[in-house]
Amino acid sequence: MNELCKKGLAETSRLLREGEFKSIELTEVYLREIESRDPAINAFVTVCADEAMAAARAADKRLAEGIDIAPLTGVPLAIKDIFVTEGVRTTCCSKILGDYVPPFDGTVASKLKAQGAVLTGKLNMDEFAMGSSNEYSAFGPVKNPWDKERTPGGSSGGSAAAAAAGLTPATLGTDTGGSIRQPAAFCGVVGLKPTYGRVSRYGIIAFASSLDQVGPIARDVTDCAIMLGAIAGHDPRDATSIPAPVPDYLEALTGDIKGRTIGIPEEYFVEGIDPEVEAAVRGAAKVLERLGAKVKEVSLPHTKYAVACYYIVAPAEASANLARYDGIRYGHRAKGAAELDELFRRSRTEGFGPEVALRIVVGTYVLSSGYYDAYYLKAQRVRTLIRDDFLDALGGCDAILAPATPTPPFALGEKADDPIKMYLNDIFTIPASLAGLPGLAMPCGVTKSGLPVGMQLIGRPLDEAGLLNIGHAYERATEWHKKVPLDG
Amino acid sequence: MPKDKRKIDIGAAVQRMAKLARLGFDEGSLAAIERKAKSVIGYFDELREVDTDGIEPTSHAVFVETELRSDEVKPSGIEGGLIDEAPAKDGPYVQVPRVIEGEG
Repeated sequence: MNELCKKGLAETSRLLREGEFKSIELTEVYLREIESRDPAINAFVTVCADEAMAAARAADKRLAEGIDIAPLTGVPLAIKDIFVTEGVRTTCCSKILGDYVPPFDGTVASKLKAQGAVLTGKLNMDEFAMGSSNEYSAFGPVKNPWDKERTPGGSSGGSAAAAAAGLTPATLGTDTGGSIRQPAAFCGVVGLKPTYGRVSRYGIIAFASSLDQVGPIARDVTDCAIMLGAIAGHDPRDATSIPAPVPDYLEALTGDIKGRTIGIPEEYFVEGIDPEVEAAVRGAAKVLERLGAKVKEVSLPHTKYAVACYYIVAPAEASANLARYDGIRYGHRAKGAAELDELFRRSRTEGFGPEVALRIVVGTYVLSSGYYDAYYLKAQRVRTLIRDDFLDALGGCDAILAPATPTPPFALGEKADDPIKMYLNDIFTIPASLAGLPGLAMPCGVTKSGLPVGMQLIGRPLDEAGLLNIGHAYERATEWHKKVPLDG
Repeated sequence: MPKDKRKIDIGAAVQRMAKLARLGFDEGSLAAIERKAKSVIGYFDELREVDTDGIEPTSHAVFVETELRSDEVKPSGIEGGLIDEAPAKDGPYVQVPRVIEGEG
């Protein structure tokens, strides 16, 4: 593996600015590495070599002239295939989007482009971001770089695997019920789901609109802070984006957490949690205590209802969002349909994979007449209780420390046919999603069999900076983030 | 949740929902989706035990006041590009199967 691919985002950015190498050289290296090593991982669904080289040349000019240089200028980056990118195929890993090539950039893609980032490609994911193992992608599953028989997690499995394998110095994913944090934990990298509304969703293919949020995945907290700074902020084109100023996330990384209070929710250490995961997270609490934080028990009593609540709310919203795929305006269109209704039905049936179809059916059911109050409204009320639990707990502590997942990465094929088993895998990430809170997943151990373990820090609304600083302090005291098998 | 679980015929419900959502299933995939939908919808029963009397529903976790902008027509600059995305078109028009009866 080329040494340049072992460097993180902060270092790559610095060396580009210092003229150590040119963006075209670096981009060529990444494109070669992707070509030679990605077939064993399957993280990339599209590689845009020509566009990347053109962007790299433009970035080199900018770097040479020393004008308008940003942290991402000249940095080769690949992002999840859910971000709409002008002129670059965007499929959401669904057959229904086929060879969709968008005529515009979403806000996040525009921001990366404006900084002079070099887009090398689009990354594999579960179809429409619905899944926890990347096995529901129309492009086949991604392999976990730590163990290729295992899942990298999902839905941003390609993003987490590409970061872990050194195929991109940092990346972006989206998280609806854990789709950044769970794959980050499974691949031994750092993933941040910001507060709902912190990052614009304009130009991000919608799954569940009251939950979807964009965030970074990288190999350390500092690189996540740089990525978040590049994409956060209010956007008039997204009515749910929060009009709050964006702090300097790098400046927040003091590493000083003396006097901070960390809550440990006992409801997250229940039956079903792997003993090695529990031990690693409890060990992390001890490290934070040693660094000067106060650790106390907190209670989130409605945790066990979060998965059922989420699997009513998210499919309901998805069934409405996915109604737009009709075979007429874009994407896959069935051949030979004589009537409009037949065209809709056949285009959708041919285009959607089985998990997406299941969620549309379930979502339609919970919204249908006679069941709406019993399921959807009930779930929305439970959602209030889950959110109130967090706000109560966070009234007495600065952040909550919990496992990111109940187990280390599981084997490909192990849960693909049992939806409940698959859904329960997100039991620790879903609650913060329902509450709209920021969550930072990061490595905190390695099992005896050599698999990564991730912890999760959950914070108050818009306190990404506080979470990143706790994570940064932890990183300075530990070595877990350096264990990632970069040549995966 | 409906009081008597036995009264819910998931098979019939799945077929009705599929029709509403414009999805079709062949026999093999119908059996799989029925089995999975039954297990997922059955799992929702866990929420029965939560007392939600007097609890307000949450539709969005973060409340953001709707921002209003003036109602102006602005060119997007990508009108042509949007039409080009249509899988069936005739010049600047998107083609659909006939929806109005009559001669033409």
